Amino acid sequence: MTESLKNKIFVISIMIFLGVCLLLYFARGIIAPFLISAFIAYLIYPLIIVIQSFGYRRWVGIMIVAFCLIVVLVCMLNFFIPLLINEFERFKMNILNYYDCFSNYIDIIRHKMEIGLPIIKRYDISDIIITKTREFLFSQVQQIPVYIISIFSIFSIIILIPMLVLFMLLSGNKNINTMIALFPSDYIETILSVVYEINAVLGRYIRGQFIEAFFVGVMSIIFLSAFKVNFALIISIISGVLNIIPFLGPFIGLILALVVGLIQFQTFTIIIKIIIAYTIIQFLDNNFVQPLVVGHNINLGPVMIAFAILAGWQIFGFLGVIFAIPTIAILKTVLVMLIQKYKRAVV
Amino acid sequence: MIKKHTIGKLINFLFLDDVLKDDIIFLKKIILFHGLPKRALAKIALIIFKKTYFPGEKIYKINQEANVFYIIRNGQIKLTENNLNKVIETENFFGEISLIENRNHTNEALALKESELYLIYRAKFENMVSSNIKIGFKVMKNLASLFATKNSSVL
Repeated sequence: MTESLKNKIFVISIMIFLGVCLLLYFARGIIAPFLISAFIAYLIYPLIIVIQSFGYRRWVGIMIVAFCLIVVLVCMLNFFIPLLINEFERFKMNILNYYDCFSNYIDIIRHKMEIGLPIIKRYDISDIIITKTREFLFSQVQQIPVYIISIFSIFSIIILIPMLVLFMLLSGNKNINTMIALFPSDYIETILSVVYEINAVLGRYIRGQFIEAFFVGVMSIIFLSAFKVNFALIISIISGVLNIIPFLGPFIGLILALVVGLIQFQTFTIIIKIIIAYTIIQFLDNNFVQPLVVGHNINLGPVMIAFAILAGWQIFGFLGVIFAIPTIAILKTVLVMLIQKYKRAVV
Repeated sequence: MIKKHTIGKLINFLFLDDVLKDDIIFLKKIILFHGLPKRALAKIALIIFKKTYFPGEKIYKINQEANVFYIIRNGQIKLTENNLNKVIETENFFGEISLIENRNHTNEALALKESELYLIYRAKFENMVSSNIKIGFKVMKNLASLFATKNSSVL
């Protein structure tokens, strides 16, 4: 009995793992709106449960939350969209000035470095940097809005995602419960625990990331506005969103703020100010916000996180980077649980 | 007067969850949840997993890892421990050992009739109960008195 249970658990764990990997890989082309909908559904599900616990039907909870969300969104869009468009227009217009300033900076640095290290003259490092930056600025940066829209096409944003969120919230756990009920009663307790753990890890992670992104975004706006850095809103939004990517995300936000700050003010004081501000934000986020909202339960080592992010990028692109950590966290949780069961079965 | 009554009924029918209401009334009768306020019972009702077991179906075996405790909504369950059989029916619960972490079931459970059971997963229940100290304390008190009664009956 022990041996057969051991083998069954082993085979089931391998099958689940392979099945999930294959499914995600083959469905990667159409998976984006589903992932985003699941993300939103996870965010608002606890609010619906709170309303339901007062005795109301689920749809009442959904309607109340949807109404509140629409009001908040409309207010925010009314305020932020004109500001954002204005900042993007200014950014587009100033891109040439920024490029000129940047080239001058590189020339000054090259000149200084060539005096100190004459060997550098042999390699046209500064020319390479300038050419690459020019290519990037004129081809990629101006395409950012187009790129964002291509990921979240208009159809997805207006119709598909809200519909998917609505269906996910309406059905709630019903579909999962129907699937669980199909398992033989011997496995019900195990399946319930696996589903609960996955749900808990995902919920904590998604809600945590949202709160963290919000925190980092708001703090960045406060600091950058205080330093009077141009495009504070765009930089802060990017910093907040990129904060989801461990290690690399906060760093990209910092670099962006530094480049804009340096070109605008042309002093090194602003670099120090921005670095201090971003360090404070990261310190507060890592030591106060993260433990509070995400907890210490996603204990993945730095090597594992780096691998997950790169693998996510390789397979699914930008969305793969964002969803790499929860995927690995889920796989880890399931594997740890199955290994524990395996050990208990052997004992 | 009649109109008002009808409108009230219609609003209740449209907005209030009847299934949840029934579950709350049912959970109120369970010893483990005695003294809990309506909202706490509603929260418990929302984390319940409902499953129907058919006659002769084994629910769990002895020494199986205990993660879930079971409440009988309808039906008849046979519990076997040390060759002693005990038959329990509606409004009873079993598998409460799962509320204590890292334990195995000390008995075996089998459905005698078609039985609808309410399954509550320990971690989910703990998570819900621990968010409110008063509720957690009441549940613990009920659980302690339950185990005390069991021990005294054994002695």
